[in-house]
Amino acid sequence: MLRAEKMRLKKRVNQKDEHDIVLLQKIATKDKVAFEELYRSYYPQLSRYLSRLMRRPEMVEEVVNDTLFVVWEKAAQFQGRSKVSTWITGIAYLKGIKAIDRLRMMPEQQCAGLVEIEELEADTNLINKLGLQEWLKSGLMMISADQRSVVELTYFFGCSYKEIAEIMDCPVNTVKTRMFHARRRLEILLPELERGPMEEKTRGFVR
Amino acid sequence: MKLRRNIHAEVKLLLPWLINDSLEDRERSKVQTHLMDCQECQVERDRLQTMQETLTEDVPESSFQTPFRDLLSRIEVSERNKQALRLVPHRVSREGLDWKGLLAAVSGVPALVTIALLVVFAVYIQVPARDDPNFHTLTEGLSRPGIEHRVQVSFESDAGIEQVREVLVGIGANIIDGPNEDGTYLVDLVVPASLTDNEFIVRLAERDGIKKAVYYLD
Repeated sequence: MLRAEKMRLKKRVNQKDEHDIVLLQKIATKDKVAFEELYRSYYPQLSRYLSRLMRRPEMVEEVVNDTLFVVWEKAAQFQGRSKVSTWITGIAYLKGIKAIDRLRMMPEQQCAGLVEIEELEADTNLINKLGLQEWLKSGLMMISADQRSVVELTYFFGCSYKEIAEIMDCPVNTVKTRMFHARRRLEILLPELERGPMEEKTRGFVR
Repeated sequence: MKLRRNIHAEVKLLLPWLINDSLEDRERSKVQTHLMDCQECQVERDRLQTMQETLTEDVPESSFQTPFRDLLSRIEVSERNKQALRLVPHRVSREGLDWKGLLAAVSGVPALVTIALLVVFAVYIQVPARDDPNFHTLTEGLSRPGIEHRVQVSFESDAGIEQVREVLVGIGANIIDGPNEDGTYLVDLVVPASLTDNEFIVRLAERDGIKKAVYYLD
């Protein structure tokens, strides 16, 4: 990327953060118009992040609202130690992990998840059916939630490993290790992106 | 050689953040320098680049209006609840004795404090005030250490309840049971060390209002 282009991008990111801070200050005074603007701005990316993290699309809307409810309640407590987006994504991560834990408590939900994985494992033609992008997405669904979160925050959100450490409230080395393990599991799929599906690779990938 | 291996391992870990362009200048420079010489890392970088491109699809536009309305309703309910909680003490003061408000206010008192007060009260009514100047002992030695005995104490038929109570409190009796049909109480009493058991029971039986006093044998 050209240096000038990078500088422009950084400036845009900083401007967005400054604007988000202004919105948070208004939300702290219970300004619903400002809250709607922030909601509109964050809803798509939080929906995407949480749908990847939780693997339960039907729960995404509820958890997005749980997250933004906390933002409404705690806006006055934001201290500016991180970017607003990092703070909000950190809340979303916590809410998402809690939702996953709740799902684990429910046997029928757990069973449903297992059935999906078994079906995926049994169907050797799945790559052909889904297409490479969908197959990679399916692969992401089969690594741990924490690994998935690191991959998503890195590749889709463009977060630095330090920001991810803040979001997930863990040391930076843990972030790097999670990414490393996620890559090791996903790299079995990567040759397929260039050469096409191979049955044995598919088998090797699934737990 | 070892240093090179360390750098290789470090660069391998950092590659995803080279791809998303979030490394600091110093780290980026280190990674790029290593990449010029390391074919393995070049292959890995290309794989990660492909992965990034595959994963980075546009987020489909989704309507936020309905979920936003849901959240607003939730916020309104929450605000109303908070306001209702704030109004509880106000209602008590303006509308006089509001039992619901009062109960709500009392429920705020820490349970431990309430329990502690009850315990203190229970101990107070159970243990006689031995330092009280109105406390009449059978002998001077009653306040000294002694042995506790269980005693059956019967009262005269004409003794009123006030007299019975006065006597029992006076001798420092701890009522265990009674009265039964005969008006007999089962009490615990401390026999002073200065008296024998026999002397004590005789003196007890001589007190006004008491018809009979015997040690209880179970």
